[in-house]
Amino acid sequence: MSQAKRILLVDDDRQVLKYLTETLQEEGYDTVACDRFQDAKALLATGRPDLLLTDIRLGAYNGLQLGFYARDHHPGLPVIVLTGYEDPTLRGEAERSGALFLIKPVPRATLLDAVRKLTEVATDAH
Amino acid sequence: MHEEGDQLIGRSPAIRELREEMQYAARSDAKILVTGESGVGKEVLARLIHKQSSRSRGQLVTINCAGLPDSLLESELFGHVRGSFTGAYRDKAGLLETANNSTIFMDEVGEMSLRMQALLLRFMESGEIQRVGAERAQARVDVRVIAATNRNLSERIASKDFREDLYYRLNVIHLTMPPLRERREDVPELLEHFITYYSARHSQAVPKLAPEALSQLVGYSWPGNVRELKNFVERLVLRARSGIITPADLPMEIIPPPRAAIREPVRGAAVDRMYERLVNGRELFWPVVYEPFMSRDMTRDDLRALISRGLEQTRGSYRLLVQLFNMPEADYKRFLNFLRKHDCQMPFQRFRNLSARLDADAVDESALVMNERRRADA
Repeated sequence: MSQAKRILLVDDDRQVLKYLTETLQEEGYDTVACDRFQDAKALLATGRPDLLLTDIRLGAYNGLQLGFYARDHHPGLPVIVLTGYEDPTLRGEAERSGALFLIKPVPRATLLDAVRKLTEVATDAH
Repeated sequence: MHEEGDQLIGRSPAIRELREEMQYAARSDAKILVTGESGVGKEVLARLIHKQSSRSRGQLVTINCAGLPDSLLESELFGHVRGSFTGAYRDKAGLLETANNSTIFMDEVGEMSLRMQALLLRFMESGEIQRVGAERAQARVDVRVIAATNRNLSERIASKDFREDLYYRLNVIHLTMPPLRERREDVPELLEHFITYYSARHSQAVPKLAPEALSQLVGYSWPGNVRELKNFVERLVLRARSGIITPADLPMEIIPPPRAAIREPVRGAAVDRMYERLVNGRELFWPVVYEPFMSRDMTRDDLRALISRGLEQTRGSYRLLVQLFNMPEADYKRFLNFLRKHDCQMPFQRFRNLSARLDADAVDESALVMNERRRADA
């Protein structure tokens, strides 16, 4: 297998970060995690992730703000936004920005399926 | 998220004055505008004010207004009603309702669109909330607004990007957080605070700073302010192998280069021509430099050489460089992002000292600045 895909995980709940990290690492992904918007911005540049997986609540920020930032500064990077509740405005804006919108709790299989598909697409695009 | 414990660290005159103003602001219930560069700690100030205010029993609600589309920002702030658009299955309260009887901290308020500014102004005047999709206002709330921005709002008002009436509504009490380089005497205390904090958090022995390392850190300009210092300390603590941090442990951009290294590598004729076109020909940066660079007709070394040459001219100021290379002021961020992304951002302090006092000790220099300021104040 080629080099493991790296996923940047962002969530201000460290429990969730731990869960996501473990789940994805078990599947052979490489992960970088952080719990703050500003750190995530830096990690997008230095961590060279193949996918951004972010929660919607990041302190004063909204995960979509990070999604928009990624779209503008790292075009082509696939983004998944996780949220605890259905909100059509959020969903609409997420989809408009090209991000995938998933509602928690996300079944493990759904999550892994989405991650796999998006990282494969990313490889093809390069 | 705020396990660092919110506090204003430092004993500089600037921070002492701010502390007094903050206490006054906490006793009052007026709206507050906090200004200051990115990373100075505007949210920390807002938390402290809220905590010391009569509203402290409520939770401080925070939102950053930058980079959110209007539809989303409006629904975040005001909420929406069921059926207001396809898929709105239930009512949702907005953050302003959540902050009832408490305080809301609205960061980067200068980035709001004129439409959102109008909605915010209406709310500030009436205290009434109208959820998206609702026919009339359904609640009147009592919320203290602390707004913050790193923009110069007077300029935004002059360019008609910010409403003057909203500015006066927000700017009842105005607090300014000074950039770290204007209170260098606080750097040692901040370093000590974060070294202790991160050592505990990462369960490591607390490293000590060698005096030479400390004086270099005090001399550094910290363009990213306290946030930069904090992140720097965390990396330093994680990397510290021995108990003492020496100048050799510090990253490149913090160490002032030896005099011989100030001149950049050989410049090709191509760079000279480009520089001529920009500075004397008044041609624009983006077509003259950006495009050939992106299409790989220009090397990274060439770009670095061009930037260095410009910085020599502007004595290290990137803001002036934006002017020199014929970009509108609004391109400043884009320009820096571009350089950063391609690893062509040159540390500016080496150019700052170029013409003046090459041997001046940065620590003395900051003391000098403070003295001058004190004299000016007196």
